[in-house]
Amino acid sequence: MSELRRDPRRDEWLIMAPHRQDRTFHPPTEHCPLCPTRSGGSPTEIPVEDFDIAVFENRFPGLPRETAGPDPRPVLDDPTPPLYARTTGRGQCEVVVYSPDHEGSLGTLDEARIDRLLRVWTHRYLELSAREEIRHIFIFENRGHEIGVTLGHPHGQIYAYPFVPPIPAREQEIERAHHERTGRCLGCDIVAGEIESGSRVVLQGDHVLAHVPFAPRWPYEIHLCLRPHRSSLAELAGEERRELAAGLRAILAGYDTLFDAPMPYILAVRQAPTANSAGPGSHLRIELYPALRAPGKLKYRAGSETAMGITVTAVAPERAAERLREVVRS
Amino acid sequence: MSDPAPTHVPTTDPTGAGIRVVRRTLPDGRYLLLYSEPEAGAGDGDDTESDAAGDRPPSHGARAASSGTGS
Repeated sequence: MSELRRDPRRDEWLIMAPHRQDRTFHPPTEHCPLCPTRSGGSPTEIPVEDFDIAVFENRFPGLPRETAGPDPRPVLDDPTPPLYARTTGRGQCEVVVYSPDHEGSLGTLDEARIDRLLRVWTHRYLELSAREEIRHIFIFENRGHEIGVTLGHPHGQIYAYPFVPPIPAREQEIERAHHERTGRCLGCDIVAGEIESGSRVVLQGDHVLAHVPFAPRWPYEIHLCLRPHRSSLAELAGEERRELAAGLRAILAGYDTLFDAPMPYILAVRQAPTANSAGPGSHLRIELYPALRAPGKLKYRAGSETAMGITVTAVAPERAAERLREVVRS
Repeated sequence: MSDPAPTHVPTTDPTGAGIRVVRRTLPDGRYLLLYSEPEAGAGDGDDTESDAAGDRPPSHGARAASSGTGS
């Protein structure tokens, strides 16, 4: 059903999931699988008349919880893999439905609901962390058909991988090296540096800081960071979490104001791979990658970005922060 | 469609997430988690949580959803 194959050129694991070709694609609203199952209506994935926030296993998982095939661990941990290494795809893919309402988006939810969502994310992070085979938990949202979303109902996803994916793995190496060299957390140093500079700050609170990165990959990219060192959602105090919820809501509303249109984006929660693996440098943040560079104009991941990994960004980060400050209201 | 009832009454959640969760099992064996604010009197939601442990068996007679998630 799902297979992991190692790219021998990059030493990266990739997921082959041909069954996902058959997943639901832009159904009409009355057949939305993420709405509650209402009396007389179509059955949905959520067989209750109403709910607050719901999580369920993806019907079309890239990484299924249980599947036939050998334990993938020996192959994943093999220090001398063959040229073509492959193994069973196993992990977890969950869908997080933010609200029973079909309309709206994460940015239009009230702060109390976003605060509850952060607690749901925390619960999933902790619970999935307890599974021995899970090595990295990724909480994210794709918004907008431009990003590839196939269901309009406000929702996000969680992938629990049986390995640490290449981007966080590389960042962990860099964070460890920075900590060994300086004795400090790289994320804490970035927060301090952005506050000191101020030129890329979008929003600043007692507990959170939102800034455009020094070297962004998306023209209006924002990183919403905890000011104190927190490795994961599980370490947040109530006040910190509430301010994070308010900041997230303000940024997403600002994105929709920026070009007076719903902003397609990717939301990525970046934290320690699991609750059991907090390293010296893991620093909780929510990274937001908005896809528009101008009204009606998408930033594409084209030749240089896709083949070389080198992003060409057409908006100066400091100018992007200026514009974002005008639309993001705390 | 039948509405599977939770097997367990929510109890204290040791995870510390500050959210109440009721677990159900969908007809095809996948799990469904329904979250809500902890009940009044159970704390302010920051340090008192509730959880239900374990899943119930698949609900016989419940129809599978006609459409899956495209995510």
